[in-house]
Order: sequence, then C-alpha cells, then structure tokens
Amino acid sequence: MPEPVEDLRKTPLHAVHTAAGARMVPFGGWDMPVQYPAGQIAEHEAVRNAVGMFDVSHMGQARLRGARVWEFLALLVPGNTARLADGGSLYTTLCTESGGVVDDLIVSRLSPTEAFLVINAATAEDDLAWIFSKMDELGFDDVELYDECEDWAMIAVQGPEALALAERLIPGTAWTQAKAFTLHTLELEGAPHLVSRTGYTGENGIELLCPPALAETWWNRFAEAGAQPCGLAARDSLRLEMGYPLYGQDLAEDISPLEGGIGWTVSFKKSERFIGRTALEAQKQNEPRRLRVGLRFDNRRPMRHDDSVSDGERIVGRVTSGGFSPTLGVGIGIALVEAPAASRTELFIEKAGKRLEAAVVKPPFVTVKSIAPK
Amino acid sequence: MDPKDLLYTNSHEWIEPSGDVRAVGISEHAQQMLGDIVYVEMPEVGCVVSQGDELLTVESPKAAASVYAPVGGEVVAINENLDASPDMINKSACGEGWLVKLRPTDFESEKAGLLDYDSYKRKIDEE
Repeated sequence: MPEPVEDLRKTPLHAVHTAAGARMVPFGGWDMPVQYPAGQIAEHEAVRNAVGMFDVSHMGQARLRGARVWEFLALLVPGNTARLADGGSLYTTLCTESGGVVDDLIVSRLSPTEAFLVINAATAEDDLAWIFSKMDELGFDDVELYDECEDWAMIAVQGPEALALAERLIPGTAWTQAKAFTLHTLELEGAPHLVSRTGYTGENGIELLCPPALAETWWNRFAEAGAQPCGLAARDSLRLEMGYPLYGQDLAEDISPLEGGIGWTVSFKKSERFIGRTALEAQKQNEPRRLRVGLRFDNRRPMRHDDSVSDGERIVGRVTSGGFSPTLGVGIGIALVEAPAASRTELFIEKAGKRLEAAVVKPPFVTVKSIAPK
Repeated sequence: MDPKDLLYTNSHEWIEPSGDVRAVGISEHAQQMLGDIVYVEMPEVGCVVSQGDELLTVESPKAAASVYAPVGGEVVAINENLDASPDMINKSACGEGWLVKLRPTDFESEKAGLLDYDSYKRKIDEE
C-alpha cells in the first residue's frame, strides 16, 4: 500500500521542487523529487559532464561529544577512525555482532572530543537508538549524543565543475583544492554551516549543510550559477554506475560489508574489538558465502532489483540494485551471488522465461571525468 | 499523426482509426508519466494478439510498463528505429515513436472499447 501523502515529511526545499515542476515520490518516509522537468537522463549527464545538485535534506545528522568519543566510535564502527585528523571524514558502517549492517554512514572528526555523523533518512531513528543503546552497553554514559536531523538542510553539488562553482559561491576556502573526505566548519550568512567534500555520484563535489531557513537561498544561488537540479532517479543511476551500495538493497542486516563489496571499509588492523569483528573475521578467513558482483548487459535493457541470477544451470543469487547506465547506454546491476559464481566471466538474468546473458564486471562501471585535487 | 485523429484505450495506447494495417503507440500522457524511455521489448513480427493482451513492454530506468493490444490482430511490423533511439517515444509519442503495426482481425466489433481524443482527454484530466 502506498503511504498516504499527508504523512510524508517535507524538506525545507519541498516548495521549490514542486514550483519547478519536479515529480514527487515517497522515499524513506519523505516526499522527494524523483526527477525535474529536464528528466533523469539529462540530469545524470549534467552531473557527469558539468554540475548538478540534489536536495539531500532528508538525510540524518547527529553529533557525539565527550572526552571518550573516539574511544567509543572505535568500538562502534569497523572503520579505522584512528586515522582521522580533525576535519577528516570516513565512510563506514554500523554493524551488528553477527556482521550485518544497520546502516552505512559518514563519520567526521570535528575535534578530539567531537564527532559528526551523516546517516540515511529511512534508518535515522533506528540508527540513533542503536548508537544510544551501545553507549549504554559498552559503558560510555559520559558520551553525549545529539540528534541534529531537524537542524540541517543538505544540498549536494556534484560534477566535474562542482568545486569551481563552490569556490565562486562559498567564501572562505579554496574548494578546488579541498581534498575529498574532509569536513569544513564555516560561518556564513551569520549562521553555522558545514561543507563536506563528499557525494554519491563518483564526481568531485560538496555537500553543503546549512540551517533549514537558508536552504532556498543556497539552492537558488547554485541554480542561478548553472547547477542542474536533479532528482532521486539520477542520484540512483549515478551511484549505480559507480557501484556504490544503497542501504536496504545492497547492504542490509543480512548482507555484511564483506559480502556487499565494501570490505575495504572494515579495518582488521586496528586493535579494538569493534562490534561485529568476530563474525567479520570469520567471514574473511572462510571467504564470505556470497559476494557482490557487477553485471552488465550488452544492450539497453535495464536490470531490475530482485531479478534472479543464474550460472546457466541454477539460481545463484539476485540483483540487489539494477538499472540503466546513461553513460554506457546499457543495463547494469549489482548482484549478490554465491561465492563460486562470482569468479565467472558471465552470468545470466532469468526473467519471464528468458535467459539473458550478462558480463560479470568489477564496479565501478564507468570512469569519471572529475580530477581529484592534489 | 495528429493526436486528435487517433483512437485511445483506458490503458493509454493509441491506434490509427482506419486502414488495413494500423500503427499503435502510447499516448503523450503515458510517455510523460514514464519518463525517459530507454528500452522496448518488442514482440515477434507475425505474432497474433487478442484485444487487451500484453503486446510489448517499454522501460524507463525506474520502471517497466506493459503496453496492451488496443484491438486484436497480427503484428506485421515493429518500429526498428526504437532499438537505437527509444527516446523517440518521448519526443514523438504519436508520430515517429510509434511501436508496432497491427492488422486488426475484427476492428468493427472491438472498436467499442476505444475512446476518441476528447473522451480520452477527459479521462486523463479526471485521473
């Protein structure tokens, strides 16, 4: 059953989207633009070739404070938080003891006693409850957790020209020189802002966090300066071309980071007995039972979420995210398959009585034009 | 083809009103709802369908939509240009973006299920 529209939450930019003629859809409990009048393909291409922007205000934020914040985070997430300097960011996960994923998130170090988290919209409440319960279980009652989900609007500006555009519009930092995975605290328009050198497109870019009351001002500035407004559909095809996982599809409580293709986010080198370590170490030693692969058709047919994958004889897995790559002009997908099948050069999508051959490839599916600042 | 001259179905297909062999497509409204069309799964030329049967599917990156036969008949041609340029359906849903050509078997008795342009327009305005 579709959710009744009146129960959906609205971002501070909702009126801007509807006034611009964007088509709105429910997503993670929010009423979000799926595409602007330009259309998904044009929006996708604007981000690959120039610059586009996305309202990602539905995403959640939280702050942790206290003398033992980093001691706590080292136990909470499998990522190597110890390597973060002040202003540094890390892509990691919240894992369960059995190695499943509660959410993927970005952890940034504001200071030796303060961390900033960006989490997914649909899981935000559960994430905060999870973190709070772990503080209690692990004896970190002195660490303070602040829910800042309502405090920030968030605009992602992405594309080969995104940093130059940011440099024109956001004073205070040479954004074309700013390294990826850094978080910058700024005072703009008399209010606190955060600029994160991150994104979900594979291109250079920033995610601007501003007070909700300033969201429209910033959105209009970027639009007037030439950023193409983009919807969730383009955001999905851009991330899929990069092989970036979507929580709830490619990662889940029953899909570990090692199975989901982000084993690199798990640090077994660090000394802490982080939550999920025992289960993930066992998976690594015995090889995960299932592995993520990239699949690619040689024609335009889009792959679909939940399509069955076979080795030609039997079903060996399913597509966890599927779609169409505007850059390549072919259908692509991320699939979770039994480990032995992952080393094949081709697998098959079994659909409506048809067997469709797909090449097994290692994501990313495309090479981007953005050149990272040195 | 002038959209005003075509006959429509409740499921948003159109068919030419006359001729031994008639083009079939999806309406301007349908292409707008689907968004960028990137793939068309065509039927075999020579296959015979009944009115309301699934004729083919058109796919956008986010969804696959079935297109139903507005009347029964034989598929005598498919629009092969759509293989390379499925976006022609978005650009010209009632013209160069036609999908197949059908030879109706019993148009006269099946046409009661079709809508003229004004009736179709009223229907989508109500939706």
